[in-house]
Amino acid sequence: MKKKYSIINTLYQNITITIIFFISIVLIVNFMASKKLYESAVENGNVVAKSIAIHLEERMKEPERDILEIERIEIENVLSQDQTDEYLNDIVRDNPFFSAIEILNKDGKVLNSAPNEFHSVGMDRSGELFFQNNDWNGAFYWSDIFTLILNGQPTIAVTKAENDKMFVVYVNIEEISRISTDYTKYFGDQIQMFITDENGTYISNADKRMMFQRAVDDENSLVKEALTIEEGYFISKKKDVLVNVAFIENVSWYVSLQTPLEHIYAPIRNTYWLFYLFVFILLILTIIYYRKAIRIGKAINKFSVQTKKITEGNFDIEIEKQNYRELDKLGTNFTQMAIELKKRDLRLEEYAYIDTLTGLKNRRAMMEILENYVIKKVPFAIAYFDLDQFKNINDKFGHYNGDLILNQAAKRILSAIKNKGFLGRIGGDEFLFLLPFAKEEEQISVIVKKVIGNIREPFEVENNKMYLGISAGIAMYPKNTDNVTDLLKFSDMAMYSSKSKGMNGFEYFTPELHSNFDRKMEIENQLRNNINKNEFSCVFQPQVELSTETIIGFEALIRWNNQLLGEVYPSEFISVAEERELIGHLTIWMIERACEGILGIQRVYKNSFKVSVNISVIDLNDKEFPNKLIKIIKQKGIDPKMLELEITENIMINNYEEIIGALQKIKGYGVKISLDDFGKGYSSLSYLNQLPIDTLKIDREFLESSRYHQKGYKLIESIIDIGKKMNFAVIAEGVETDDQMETLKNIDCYAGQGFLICRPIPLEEVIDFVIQKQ
Amino acid sequence: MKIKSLFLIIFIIVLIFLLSVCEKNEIIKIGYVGTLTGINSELGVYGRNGAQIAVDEINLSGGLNGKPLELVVRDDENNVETALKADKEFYKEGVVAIIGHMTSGMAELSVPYINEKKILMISPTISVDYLGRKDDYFFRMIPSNKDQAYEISKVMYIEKSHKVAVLYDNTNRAFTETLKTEFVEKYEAGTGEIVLVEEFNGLNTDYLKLAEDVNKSGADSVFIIGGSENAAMISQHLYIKNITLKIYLTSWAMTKELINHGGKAVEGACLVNFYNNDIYGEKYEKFSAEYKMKYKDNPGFVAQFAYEAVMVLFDAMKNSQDLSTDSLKTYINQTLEFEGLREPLAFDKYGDMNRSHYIYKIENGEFKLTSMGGNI
Repeated sequence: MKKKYSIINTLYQNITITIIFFISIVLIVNFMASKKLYESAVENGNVVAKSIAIHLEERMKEPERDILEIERIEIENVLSQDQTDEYLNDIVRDNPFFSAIEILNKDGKVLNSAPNEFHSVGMDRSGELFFQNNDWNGAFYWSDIFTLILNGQPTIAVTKAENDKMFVVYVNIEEISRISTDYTKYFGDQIQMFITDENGTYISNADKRMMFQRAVDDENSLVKEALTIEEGYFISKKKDVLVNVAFIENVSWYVSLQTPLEHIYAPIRNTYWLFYLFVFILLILTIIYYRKAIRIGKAINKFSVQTKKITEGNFDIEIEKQNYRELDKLGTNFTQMAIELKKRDLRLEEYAYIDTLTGLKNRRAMMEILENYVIKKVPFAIAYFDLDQFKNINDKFGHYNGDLILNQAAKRILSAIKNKGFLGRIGGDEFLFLLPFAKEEEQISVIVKKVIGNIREPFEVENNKMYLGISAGIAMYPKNTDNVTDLLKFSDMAMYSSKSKGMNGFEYFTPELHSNFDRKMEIENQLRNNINKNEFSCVFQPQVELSTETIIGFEALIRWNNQLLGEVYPSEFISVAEERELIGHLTIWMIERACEGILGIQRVYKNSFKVSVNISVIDLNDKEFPNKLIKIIKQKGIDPKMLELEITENIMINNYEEIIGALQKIKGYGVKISLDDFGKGYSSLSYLNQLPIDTLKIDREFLESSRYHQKGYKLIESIIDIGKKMNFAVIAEGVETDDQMETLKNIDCYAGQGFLICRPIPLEEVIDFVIQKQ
Repeated sequence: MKIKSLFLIIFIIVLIFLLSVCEKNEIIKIGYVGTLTGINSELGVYGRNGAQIAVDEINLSGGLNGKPLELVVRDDENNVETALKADKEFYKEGVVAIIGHMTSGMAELSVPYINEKKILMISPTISVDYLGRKDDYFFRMIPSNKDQAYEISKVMYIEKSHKVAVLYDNTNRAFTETLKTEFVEKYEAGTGEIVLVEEFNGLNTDYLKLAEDVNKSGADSVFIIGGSENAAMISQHLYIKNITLKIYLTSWAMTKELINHGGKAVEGACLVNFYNNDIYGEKYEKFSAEYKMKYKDNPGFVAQFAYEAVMVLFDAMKNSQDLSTDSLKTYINQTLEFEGLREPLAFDKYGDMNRSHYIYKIENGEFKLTSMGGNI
């Protein structure tokens, strides 16, 4: 992985490197300048020391010259004792350099001396070191420093001894010191000079006490060493001075020239304040830079914390104004980005929670609302709406129009509920309405009724009026369940229950519904799984003319013997098949059986009877249904007049124009139409006019009620009368007793059908029945 | 790199920088004071040399717990005022102790001062009697001079010197006068006669007159109570006049200058001193070798005593609980015996060194130990 650099660390490192670089530069410059100064001081010092040494060497020849002169005179022996003393006195007087002069004999006795006041003639010098150490070889001998007993002054004896005499000049050290220091002054005040003898004892020193006290130079060995290795200089460890050394040969003395290092480096020292200032400024700058770096670091960290919050989804954070333009820009961009993200999120939320087609809440939104209420334990009621037969609309008008209608339906529902509760579309044509704080079913049922009413108003599609129905199921929280999933299921059950009882209604959920629902579920499952298996069978129930008791036709009825559920009544499974839209398959299958029935009877009996088949409104909503029907009739090769389709009144609930169109098409082909269960449900006399029917079948309940009520009796009579007048064949269903038969005959009902006449029988028995009857 | 560690580095750099600027080894100062210039400066100079050898030796072996000693040298110029001034300067400088002074005359103002200020003073050579028998801050490496007078008088009787001229240096009265008085008392107690008692100015001596007076007095011996150079000069002047006397000298004069400058004039002179130069061991050999190397000379008794004074002080500094004067004094007082160059050293309870007396005679330009010493 590529190494990642930290901005702050990079800043720190750069600052550090810069600081170190500058300090290094300063140190190097300082070092080089120091070195140069030092080298030139060494060179200079060596020259000066040598010059002093040469000067002193010259001066120190004076006592030797004088001794030679004295010796010459003494040898010539031209002067008397007194004259000699006088002569010596003159020399001493003339030369402040000399403390005294003595001439000694071989035993060390003073023969002549000057100056006179010392009265040293006759004294014994045999104890003196200069006497004892003398080789008597005529060479000059320079003694060590000692106190001259005659005057108490530090002195050096210069001697020359030969034959029987020794000439002694006592050289005043103070004077030597004066001469040398005077000479040194030519080279500046800063330079200190001292002269030491072989032992390191001071012969000359600016501090005279050092001579008088016969002090010894601590660094005598260094002085000697400096000369032997011919460098001629060294650094005194103690005093921080440069010492240049030179040797005075004729007296074996050492000239040490001391230059304080401080003096040597003074030119730099003068600029030291500049150096310190520079370092100080660097330090200050470093601190400032570091603080800036820290601030930048903090800003970046803060920035990153804020941006992190944004990445965590907290888009409400507005990144603060930054002190750094770049960061500020970045911050603005981030804020902008956050705003955009927020917008996008809102849109996504919309997509997630809003049904785009209707603008209502979607399933997810409704589920969350439900769950929230459940969590908060707020009581509420829900109504589960489902548009009746909506699939047909899509099929008929296309999805575009379907969507328009859905949209309109949504608006109507919305206007019915006004601003109460929450409404959402939770499926294709399913709506869910939640009414909070509802404790009684009535509170929501008022609204539901209003919704049903609103939906029943005709819709406009492509300039056509059309009718829709809606069914609803109502469930209560927490009365029915405290589980959202169950609650939805329950309302759904209630809705289906309502739907199965006819469209355009609503029902409350009850525990019984639950068990019915389970049964329905089972039936549905078995239907789906077995619809193509030979579990279904077809039976025929004869219809007879009541006056003649001759057969006029048969009604084909479906029977289902399921391997699991056993015999299932059509009243149970037909409604399930309708709800789950499985009915079309069964209808087709029944029409085929009916045709086979017609053909079967025809084969035996030459003359056939009409056979009627129940069809559902679902079938009629299928645009292809008339064609499918005609195809079967052609395939089977029957006379269309032999086939009759039984419809019920509820096909008129919606789309009745379409349905009428379909029926007319069927009728136009020759197939007869029969209106079943007349007098039940939404029966309307106006239908009788509109529908292209041939037969009117009076519902069995009318017949039942006519037994006890005069009004029922009259009603049947009137219906039969209407049928006659409108030229319908009227058939009464559910003829089960002789009384009923009698009644029907009395009111001159054309035909009847029922257990009294014959139960529904399989095709094989139909043949026998026909033979028997005819 | 963390900001903290960076600042730490800068801090360390600054610290090193400051330390290098301020770097100064702590130095323990010891004062040395004596007469270093002029006539009679031998004691001062040799004392300094001896003390310096001791300090060098101590520093070479690591000083006091790594801290080097420094011998701060001052000259009292044989002047009591200058002597006091030097002591005051030492006090200001905060020296641990003062080694000195070297001549009794300098004690007059100095000893009261150091007692007042509680400064430890160890004198290698001051022997004046009146400083003895006091429990004070003054210690000395030498006994009272009274005993010298007695020793000399004894020797005089042994050598049958019956007519004695006494010459004493009036520039060091504290020493010379006590000694003179004591001597006169002791000597006159016997049968001998003191024919002359004369004082002289040691710094500006009229040697001709002294020689004349001695000559006139008819003395057969002369007791010179003075320094080596005065003694040498007086002897030379007597020698010039062919006056042959037995010469007696105090320990003060017993330096090589006496022999160098006195020459034949001091041959046979008798001296009293406190060390036995026949006793020496490895320690003395080492000291002597170092001294010779540095000063190209043999160490005299003054150098030895000064060396021992520094060593006694150093012993105290090493072993006492701190460097305060009282601690050092207590340690020295309570210590029975210190190591000496030749013999063990012992102070009495007043801080005076107990030493035996030895009589030396100059023979062939050398000090020869005789058997005449009181303790032999």
